[in-house]
Amino acid sequence: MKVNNVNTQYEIPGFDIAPQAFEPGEDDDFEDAPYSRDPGLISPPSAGGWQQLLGLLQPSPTPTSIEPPTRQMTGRSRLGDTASYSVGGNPEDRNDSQSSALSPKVSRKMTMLADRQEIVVKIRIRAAEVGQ
Amino acid sequence: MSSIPAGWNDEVAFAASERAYLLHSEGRYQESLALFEGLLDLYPGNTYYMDAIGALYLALDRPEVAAQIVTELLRDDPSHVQALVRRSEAYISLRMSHEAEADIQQLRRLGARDHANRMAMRLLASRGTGLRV
Repeated sequence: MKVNNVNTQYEIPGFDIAPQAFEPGEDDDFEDAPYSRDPGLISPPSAGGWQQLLGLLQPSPTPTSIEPPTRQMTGRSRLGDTASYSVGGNPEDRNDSQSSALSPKVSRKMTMLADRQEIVVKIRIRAAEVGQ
Repeated sequence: MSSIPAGWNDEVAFAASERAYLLHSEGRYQESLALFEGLLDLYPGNTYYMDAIGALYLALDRPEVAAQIVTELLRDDPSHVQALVRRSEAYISLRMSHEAEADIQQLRRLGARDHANRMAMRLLASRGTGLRV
């Protein structure tokens, strides 16, 4: 028997569509089906694993590319100081005098991060509304 | 140490660094630079931030500033390979061939042959065309 149709199963939230049942004896009769003897297109992953496949183990390809940050790289000054020890007070206590003590570069950075945080909160609220 | 915003800690610093890195990956160099410069103000001398800022100034076609910041980085860490790559690239753009050659030699001494060869090719190409590469 030659099989010319392909069964595709979709998953749609809220619907339970059972897969189409085979006729008796049909399920083991695929010898003449197209691609039934295809060896498959997927080759085994290389020895370096997914990091090598993504090129993450390669040296930076250009002088303008940078590596992703790690926790060891960030949050440290030249002398190894961390910022957390010099933070005073509660985040809720921020006031104008404290903000004005920040350098223009830090203020700009904080504004950008706050803007982004605001967008993230809006997206989460919207996602929660849609999910209800 | 610079003044630290209230509520700031190392986790927030890491999240901000990731954000800056992603902006760089998306080609949003000015925004990425603003974050990295703010982070460097909070953590003076941090080699990751200095290196990233050097890369960003190169990407923004400001090799003179890139050369300055990676030179500062190299004062603390003369064997920082990526900083040498960036500075040699900046020197090539500024047509400072002798300085670029010196950095390429230093890369070879450090065993970074791939980087050295690539930058040597770029230097050669810049000489051949007489144009900025």
